[in-house]
Amino acid sequence: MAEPRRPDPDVLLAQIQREEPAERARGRLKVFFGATAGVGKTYAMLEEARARKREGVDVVVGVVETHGRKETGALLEGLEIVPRREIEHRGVRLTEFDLDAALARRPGLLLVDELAHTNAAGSRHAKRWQDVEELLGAGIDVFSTVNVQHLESLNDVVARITHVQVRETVPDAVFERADEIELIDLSPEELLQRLAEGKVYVQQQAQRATQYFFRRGNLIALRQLALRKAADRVDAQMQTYRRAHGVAEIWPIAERILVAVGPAPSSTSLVRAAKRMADRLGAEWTAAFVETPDVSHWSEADRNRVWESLRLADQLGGRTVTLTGSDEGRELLNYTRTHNVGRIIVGKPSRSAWRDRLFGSKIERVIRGSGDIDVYVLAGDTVDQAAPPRRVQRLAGPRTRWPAYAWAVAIVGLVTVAAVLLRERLALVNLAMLFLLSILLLAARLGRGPAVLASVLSVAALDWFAVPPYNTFQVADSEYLVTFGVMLAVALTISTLAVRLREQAMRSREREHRTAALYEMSRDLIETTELAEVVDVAVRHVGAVFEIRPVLLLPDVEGRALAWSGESTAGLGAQEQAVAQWVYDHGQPAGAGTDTLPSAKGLYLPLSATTGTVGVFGALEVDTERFRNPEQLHLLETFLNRIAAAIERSRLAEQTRRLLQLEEMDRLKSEFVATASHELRAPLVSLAAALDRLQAMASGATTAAWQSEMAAAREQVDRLRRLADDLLDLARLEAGRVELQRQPVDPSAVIRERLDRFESGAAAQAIRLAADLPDALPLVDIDRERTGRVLDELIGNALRASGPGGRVLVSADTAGRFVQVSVADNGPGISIEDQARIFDKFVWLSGRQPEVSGLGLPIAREVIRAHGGAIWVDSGLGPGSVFSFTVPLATGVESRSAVSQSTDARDET
Amino acid sequence: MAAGMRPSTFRLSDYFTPATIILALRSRSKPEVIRELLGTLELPAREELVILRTILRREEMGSTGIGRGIAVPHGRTPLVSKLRVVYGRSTGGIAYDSMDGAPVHHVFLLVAPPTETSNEYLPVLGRIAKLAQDPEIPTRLSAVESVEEFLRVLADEER
Repeated sequence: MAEPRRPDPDVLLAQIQREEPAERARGRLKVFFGATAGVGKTYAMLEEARARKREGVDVVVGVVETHGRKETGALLEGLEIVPRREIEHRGVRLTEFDLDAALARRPGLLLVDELAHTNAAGSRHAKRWQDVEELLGAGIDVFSTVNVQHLESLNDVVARITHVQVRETVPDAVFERADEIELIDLSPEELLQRLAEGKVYVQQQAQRATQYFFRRGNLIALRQLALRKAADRVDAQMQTYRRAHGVAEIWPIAERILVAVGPAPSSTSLVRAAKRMADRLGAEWTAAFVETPDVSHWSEADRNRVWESLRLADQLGGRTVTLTGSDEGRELLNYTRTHNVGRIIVGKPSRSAWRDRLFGSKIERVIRGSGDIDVYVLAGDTVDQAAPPRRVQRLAGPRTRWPAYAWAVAIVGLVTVAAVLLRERLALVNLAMLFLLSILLLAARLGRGPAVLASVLSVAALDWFAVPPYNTFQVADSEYLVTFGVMLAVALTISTLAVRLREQAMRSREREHRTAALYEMSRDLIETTELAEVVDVAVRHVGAVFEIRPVLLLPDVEGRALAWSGESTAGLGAQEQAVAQWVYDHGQPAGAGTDTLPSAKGLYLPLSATTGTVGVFGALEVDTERFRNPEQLHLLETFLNRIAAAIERSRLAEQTRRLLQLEEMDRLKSEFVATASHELRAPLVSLAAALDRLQAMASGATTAAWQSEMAAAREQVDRLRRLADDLLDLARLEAGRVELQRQPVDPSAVIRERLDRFESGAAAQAIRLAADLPDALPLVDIDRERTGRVLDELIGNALRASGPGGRVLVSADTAGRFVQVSVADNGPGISIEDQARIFDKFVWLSGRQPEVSGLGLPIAREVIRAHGGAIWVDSGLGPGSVFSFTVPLATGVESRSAVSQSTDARDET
Repeated sequence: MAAGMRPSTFRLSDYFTPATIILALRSRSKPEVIRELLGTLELPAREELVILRTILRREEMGSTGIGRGIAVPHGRTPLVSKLRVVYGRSTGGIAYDSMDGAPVHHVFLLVAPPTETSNEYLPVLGRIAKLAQDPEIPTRLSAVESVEEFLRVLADEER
């Protein structure tokens, strides 16, 4: 049973660790907190300091900015002030708070105004709050001031409100750690009045900003911010305090509402009423259900109504909680105390008045015990009277079967024998006690039925054997009737209590069992690496705990369609598959027992991990009602989360494995290609040389046919050599074995130089080859030769694509940190399908003339990638295509002022 | 389906927002229209200009006015971080230098980064090309009166 007034030992320990050493070693920080400058923080600080001084505290002023205000200045009189330190910074003399002098003085309480202040250069700490930290660390209590706009987390918010960015900020943690915060609150009207009277200090350079800053709207917003911040802190502090001191009174700070739900059909309207009340008050709300031992006797319909109410609360944004205990009223009150609930909503009584009078009413108990909690009794539960919670026939448990009754008979028999033997020596009352003892034991051990039987038998036996006249059921003294009555009542009471206790124990055992099951599954999952193992473990554990037939559906390689996994899934049709697919696509539960596709045979839930939905969990042969209980559903979801995480982990492991394999294969392949092309080159070079020699030897004495064959042979050898060169090049690039000779280069120069090489060729085919280059392009950091060859490749391709009479345009632009170079042609264009693979190796596309090796674009891609750029093609709809690539700007070159800096950049290298 | 392309499970309507659907284009000329459409992407002025130049150069080499009053200017640029799609409608018509010579009323502008891990650009471009092949689409798009209707037309076409 929860004892609300006893603090949680862990919480206490944490508090001791937090408070105890702090109280001895660290000074206490009090912050005077305000919405803006001018609300009177310094004034309030000084006033309190003077009060402390009167109390005998050793108060010293570290630094206080009066900003020439007389009233504030007057408060400084009679207070000791630490002389300020003088700092010379760039010829300007500044005075600054003298931290070392303050530390040496060691006062009991030091006033350090303006916590957010930035110290002059040359100070020990950059910020004044760091000075304060050091002071606190030295055990000196500190008073300080801060405005809401100086809080780090609110800085942006304030800037948005006021359009004035404040650079001096205090980390929230410093504020949060302050032992005391005093909010100095002043209404905007008063503040504006003070401003008009010149009582608010405004820095000279900030005069103009001030006009914007001190607008009424801004002041209201800032005041709200300050109030909320202070309130939040107080709320958090209160929680800590309540936990530490086991406080049972309610402090009505932030409203919390508790609504008690039950099996009455009108319970849902109570939930809605709670939601409305919470909305009106801006309060948090909780729907609570107290699971008493009686619940086990409820009908399915009753239980469902409870789950429905809880589910509704869940949907409406309330919290739901299930409490366990034998007394509904007491559990509700316990909860309200420990959770700072200010209002309880309960339904009107359902039971007839005489039952309430006999057994006590939940509402009465709540109201009596509510103390300072408001209790709202709303219409609702009246429907109950028409349909009281029906008791369903309980299945006979093992303890109430015939052996238990046999035990009862046997024990009563034994006691009877003992009674007969002892009846001459013992008073009748003591004999009755013997019987009572046996009834008590039976009631506690065997439950109500055997206990009642035992009490009836005991009464009979006692009457027959022990009450004179013996061996008759006659009773000499009517007082014995009382004895019989008491025995019967004891039997009933004890057995009822015992049964309740056992049921409660069973319930907590069940919970414990599930927690243990979750732990076991997690432990087993940790040991798995293969997906199949994960599936196996998941199916085994979840199936056992929830008594369902679980299946896992995992996406196929494409990551789309689901495939069944796990236990035998035969007999599951396309419909189930479709439901599961829906769950996977939408990431939401569906199927039996839900509102989506409820006609399905199974219940399907998404397996959500950090990377999204990794699969679908299906519960077949499911008792759908069971998962209407949010608690059960949450529990299942907890299991599923673990499973999802395990699946994700094994997927990632699998991907990494596959990636490593692929990388290894790729490396081997590149090595092979490099070796092969290298081996090819040597004979090709010799062959070319041999052809040259043949040509020279045969000069003059050859026919035209011989010459033509010779030229063809020469061409083919050259072609082969180029192919071998390209292959070798690509293999080296892919293996990352090419060192780029990078330097700052003017991209226009490279483009013009390469264009020149194609000019005559283009002219011969009547292709208009033009360049569109901005006047000033920034320098780029490239390997001039290799990038030039990329351009060659693109221009050559473009000329081939556009064909005689066509157009090719080479252009360049600065694009962010890159220069983008584009080569456009008006050829037939490249289909969308072809675009996706045009940069792959050995791809010859329809409608484009084959390049020399089919390796030009792959090499270009590798070169550009090695530069950290990108290369791509735009085409597809309409004729023409544009090949573009980007190369990075040379470092230190800004994209806008390229010309002026280009000479500087050249000097650097 | 080509390597690297995902099966068509996306919906075109996912790529539009109310801000990127202009049912009444103010501009009348091709460069102005493209500029107006690019304007919805809220890019810095200089970057917008670079993208505009890129797209116009492409248009210069081969118009993306693919006939029946539809044009699909498109291009990749490192200046955007993900695929952006804009639709603009001009009741008056735009002189677009289309294949069939007719003025353009419906413009789908696509801008995508050079390399996408999500591989969306080409599939979306393909889907729009397919949409444009439906002979009824120009009439249907012309009849659209709201953003919601426009999205509904897209959804119907994809069914």
